[in-house]
Amino acid sequence: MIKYLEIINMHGYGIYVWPCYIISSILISYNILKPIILHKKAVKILKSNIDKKS
Amino acid sequence: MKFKSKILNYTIGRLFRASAKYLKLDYFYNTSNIIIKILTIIVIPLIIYGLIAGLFIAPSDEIQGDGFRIIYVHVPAAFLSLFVYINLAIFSGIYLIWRIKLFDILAKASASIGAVFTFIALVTGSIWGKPMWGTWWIWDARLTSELILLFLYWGYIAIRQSIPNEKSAAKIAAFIAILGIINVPIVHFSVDWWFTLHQGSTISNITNIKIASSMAYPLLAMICSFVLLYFIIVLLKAKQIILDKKLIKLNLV
Repeated sequence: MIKYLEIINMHGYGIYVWPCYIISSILISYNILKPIILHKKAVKILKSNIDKKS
Repeated sequence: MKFKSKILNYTIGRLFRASAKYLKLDYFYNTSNIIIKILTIIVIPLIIYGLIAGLFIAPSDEIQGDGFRIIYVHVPAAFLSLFVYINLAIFSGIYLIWRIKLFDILAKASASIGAVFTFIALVTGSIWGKPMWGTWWIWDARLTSELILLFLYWGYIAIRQSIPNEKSAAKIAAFIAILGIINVPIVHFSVDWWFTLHQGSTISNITNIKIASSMAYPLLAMICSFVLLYFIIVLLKAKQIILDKKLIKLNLV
């Protein structure tokens, strides 16, 4: 348990190091997921349009 | 000189015409899926290694202690902020000269992700600056030129969104993207040209690495994974833009 806390604390630098990684991972994940979700929505619209026509 | 540039223009133009099939939006849309899958398979182990080795295995820095571990997100993001801008300018240049739609889409897709990497570089740099310099921000040459780079990205995005005519927006934005390339060497060489608080380049080239290999390998892995992530995101965004164009054509939006 103490070892885990030491890793998180990073000799007092954890308060600076972890937010950098958290902010970066949130922003990058958002940029990966956003086009995937929008693309899926667009495909759905296209498919429903094709179904209506057929 | 003029003759030489004409020959170059003609040769590149022929090259694009020869590869016309590969530059078609439908072909790009269909093949990008395979490329995304291959890149994802490569990036996952690379990023896992970079994160684990950077955060837990690499030794602490003699002066900066564990605070130096911010390097594993800050440097790749800063590298990408410049790398993406160079790509943006190249794509814009190709679009302006040869009017190939695919390159306009790639430029549009690159701008937003470039802005994100620049923002990450600025935020992580600011957080790193607090324990090392004692301040969140200073108007030093590197930081200021990087901030200007972010404004260039935002300017490009704003132009594309504010001009209703798609073609005019693409042309004006491409022109501004090419003009903005002046800022790239300023950002890169600012630490050499001016006296700055920001430290010099950690890795100026692959043969001149200024840190121990146990610290450098995870850094190289993170830089490579950020580059691959950029290509994955650009392909995903480009696919979405192509599909959106189709929906608009069919009056479904």
